[in-house]
Amino acid sequence: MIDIPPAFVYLLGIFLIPVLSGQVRKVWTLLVGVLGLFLVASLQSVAPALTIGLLPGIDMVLLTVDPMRQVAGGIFALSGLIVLIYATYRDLPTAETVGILASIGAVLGVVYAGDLITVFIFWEALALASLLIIWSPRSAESVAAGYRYLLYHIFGGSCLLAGIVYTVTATGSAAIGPVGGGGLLLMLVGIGVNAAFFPLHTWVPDAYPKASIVGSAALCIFTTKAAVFLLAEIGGWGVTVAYMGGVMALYGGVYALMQDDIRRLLSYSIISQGGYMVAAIGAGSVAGIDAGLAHMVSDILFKSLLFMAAGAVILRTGSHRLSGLGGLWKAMPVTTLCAVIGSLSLAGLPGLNGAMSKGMAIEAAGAVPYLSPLLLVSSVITVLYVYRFLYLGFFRPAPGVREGPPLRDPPVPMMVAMGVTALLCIVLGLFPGILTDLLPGGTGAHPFALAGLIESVAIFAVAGVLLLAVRPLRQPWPGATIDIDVLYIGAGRAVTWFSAVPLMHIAGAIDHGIERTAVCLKRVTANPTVAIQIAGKSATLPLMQAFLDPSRSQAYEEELSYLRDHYPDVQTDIWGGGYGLIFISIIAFLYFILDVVW
Amino acid sequence: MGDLNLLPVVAIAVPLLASVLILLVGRYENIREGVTITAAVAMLGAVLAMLPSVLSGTRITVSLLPMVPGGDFALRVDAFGMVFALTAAVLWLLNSFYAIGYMRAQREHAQTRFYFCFAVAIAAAVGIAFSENLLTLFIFYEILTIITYPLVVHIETPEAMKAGRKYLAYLLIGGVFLLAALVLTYVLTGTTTFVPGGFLAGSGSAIVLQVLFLLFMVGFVKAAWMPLHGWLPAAMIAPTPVSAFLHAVAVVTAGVFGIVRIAGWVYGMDLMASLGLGTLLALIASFTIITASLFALTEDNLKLRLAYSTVSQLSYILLGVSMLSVAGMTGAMVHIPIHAFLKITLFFVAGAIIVSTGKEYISEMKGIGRNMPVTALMFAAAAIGICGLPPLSGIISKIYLAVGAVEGGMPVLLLVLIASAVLNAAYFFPVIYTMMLERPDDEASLVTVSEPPLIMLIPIILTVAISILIFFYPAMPFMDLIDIAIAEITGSVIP
Repeated sequence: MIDIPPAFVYLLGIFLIPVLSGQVRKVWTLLVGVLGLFLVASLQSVAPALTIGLLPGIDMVLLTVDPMRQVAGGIFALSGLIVLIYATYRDLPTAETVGILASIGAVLGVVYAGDLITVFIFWEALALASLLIIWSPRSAESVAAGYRYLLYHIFGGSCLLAGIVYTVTATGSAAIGPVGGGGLLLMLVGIGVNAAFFPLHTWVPDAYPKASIVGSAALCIFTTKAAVFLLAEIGGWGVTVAYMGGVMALYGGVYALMQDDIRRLLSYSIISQGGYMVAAIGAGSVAGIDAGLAHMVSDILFKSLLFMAAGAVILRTGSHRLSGLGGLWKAMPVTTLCAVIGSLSLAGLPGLNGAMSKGMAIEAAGAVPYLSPLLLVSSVITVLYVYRFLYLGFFRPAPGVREGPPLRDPPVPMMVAMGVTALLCIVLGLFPGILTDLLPGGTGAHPFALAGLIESVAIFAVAGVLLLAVRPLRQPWPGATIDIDVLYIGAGRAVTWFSAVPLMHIAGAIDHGIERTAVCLKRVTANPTVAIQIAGKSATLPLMQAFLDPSRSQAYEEELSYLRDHYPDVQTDIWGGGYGLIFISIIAFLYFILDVVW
Repeated sequence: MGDLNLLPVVAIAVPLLASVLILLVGRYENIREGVTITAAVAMLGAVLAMLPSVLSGTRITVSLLPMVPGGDFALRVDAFGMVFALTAAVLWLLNSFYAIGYMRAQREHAQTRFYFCFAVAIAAAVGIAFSENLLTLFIFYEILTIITYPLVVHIETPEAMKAGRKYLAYLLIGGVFLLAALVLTYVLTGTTTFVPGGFLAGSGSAIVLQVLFLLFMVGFVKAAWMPLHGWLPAAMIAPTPVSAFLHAVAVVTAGVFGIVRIAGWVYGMDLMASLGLGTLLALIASFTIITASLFALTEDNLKLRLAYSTVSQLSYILLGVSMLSVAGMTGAMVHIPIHAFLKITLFFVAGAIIVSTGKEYISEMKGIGRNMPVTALMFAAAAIGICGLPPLSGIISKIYLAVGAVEGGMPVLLLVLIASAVLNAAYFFPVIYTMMLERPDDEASLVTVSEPPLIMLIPIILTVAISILIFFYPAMPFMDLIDIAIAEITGSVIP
């Protein structure tokens, strides 16, 4: 039995990446992936190990293993390896390889952490790793998307820290468990950014489509699911979280339906499916947690499969829009088959893993009023956009003539990766017990029970009717790219404008003011008595001009000009002593006043 | 024990002696640099020699010169002073190597004057760290101001002279306020010696003590709190080793060090709480943190952006103090070395870029990471650290400050920390992207660009390595020292 946190395998493996290249590097990444998976599989339930004292009474626990963590760790390590296999089709930039390995390591760090501080540290590491992946293509749009991604996740991470800190100071321990009090909202915001709660979700459709082909496939596995896992681990959420799940499911589904860019469609689908998980976990029961975990596993499998298939399509056709695709089923049969399996699993066809876990989730959500109907409606919408994805992307006759090399299936590594995932989808769909036996609460899935079958048939039937009746559903349309991130981007621009323009002016004005004061002081101190005389005479000049006759006020004015012109060389006579007397009186007065006050 | 008492004096005397030697051997450049390096090693040795006894709880006191009754010119080495002194000693050594590389690569004039001032400045900084009372602190503080002036105006252009005037104006006027505060303290209590937990309680009415605190705050204008921060961006006109030194080791850290000393050893946390000074300090610190970050957002000159970042980061320390809680104070104290090592790295890289490319503006630095990979990577690492991300040390102070905010009953400060974290990322990561991943406008112009000379590169790598080390082993020795210091001022048992 080995007591090493699996995260370290990947994080240490990163160090060789910059010095290796080509085939050797690919072999090394696969080796790391396999090693990590073996380590995860070999971990047995252990009490918290590897603790580090941080604050008095607060320990950081780097490794703790229980059934829930084993399920999550297993799927992350497994899909991580599959993505690494997928990635070997070409030589990735160093940053991207490092990012992918670091992501797997960081997410496993989150999973196996035994306390909230450790979770937080690996959470931040995950954000950095994902940033590397998003920035790798170095295109203008991926830079901007990565920057927004970073700001979002730093915001979320800091909120998470704030929530954790609240919990730690309130309970005196950093153990992972239900939270309450002031930290609850902050923690929900922090987790919600990663989990893509509404309205903190816009980074998913913003950033995921702009990563590279491999990048998207990698990104979709980790960040959102780490958040779902943390939600499940902490537990004790109220119905608010459950309803958030419903909102996510519906919002994500509707927006997915409106997309033209295939990866943007899949990104919104991530949000939508995440909604099922969040709803189930929010329902609060043991069955709910199990359902959330099970659907997390299923979604990782079929979503990564779909992203991989989309990547293959983009690679071969150069097009990433449904409006430009079609007719791929003849030229790219393997890809199409994998896409079909992934899509039908997403749609919830009994016999594939999606139906199994989706059914569990909807059942668990039944405890919360109005939630199941929301999820069922979302399921119908899911079938609708799945149909669009398959029909418009693969099966309809291609619109227009396609230029470039003839289409064929993608390179072998891609096909292997997709094939393995598709197989897993089928196996887990036909034999749900394999997964449900591992679930912490022991909840079972009944996709083939009568109730489940009727539900699935009903969903497909309603969707089918809608598809037949509403013609635009079967046609391409320009994708909807406006989401509420217009508000955030507007706010960001406002802040930047503020610092560039008004703030600079204010600062400049203050600086200028201080400089003028300094210059003025310098002038005054050159000949203070005369300066005061000038000031006094200037102040009383209007009075003089008003009350004295012109000749005398004229003389006064001339005297003033003489003083001004010959300043600071003017000598003055003891008349200036009068001012001194005034000063001394003022100081004496202040002294007596302060004495009273003191 | 007699030997031990000599060590603080040795630690200050060695650089002073070295400064004289530098003046004497100035013409022989290699010997002169050798003097600097030897002095740095010797001083580090002296400081390290005192470390074990300080870690065991001893405080080393040396009275040098009786001055006024109740205020001698005296040194005392305690845990908190050791934190500053150790940081300063280590970084002076690394900075000396870096400065040698920089000054020679740039063929700067007046190098003897430069090294002379540096040596005296570090002596003054360590003197501040080891001051036993306010009077000693004040003396070393003013020495530091005056001796850094020639460093700031080193290039002697009209612009530099103007900046130097601004620098002196702010710092000397601040010094006057510090003197006023010092005198008032003496008048109120008859002593200026630092006492763990404070000694001002009950010595005056609330108004007087509050005004006194304000006097101290203006006195410690070196902490660059807004709106009295203007001298720091102006001082960026200095050669980069000076900026690195000013920003990490000597001047600014001396400023915040002073404020922490006042809070813990003159006022005491309880007195500050009862006077409402925590809230005042929190307001000043929060304002500075956010506004300075906003300034940094749109600043294209790299050194200026780093200057505003420093202003913001220093107020993290003030924020930690303002929380008046154990975790907050811990966060404040630990941020001193953490920020020092990270910020000096960033400035080192800025200087390396100037040496290798002559470029000062971020928009001109596109893609230099390809030709200077190690340097750019070190910048990215240090920037990530300042943003509070693992595996660098910045995340430690972030955690402590967050805990401190809740512990101290000021949860609204969490919002300041959140906003600041986002702003930090907002102005640092574009620089990382520009340096490392962006494609250069003109590939040909980068052909001559390469890594800086090793004598500059190795200190950069070492400061990052130390920052990572602090992340994995915070206790050695900083957290251990800070635990002792906190125990001192809260009157609890030393762990």
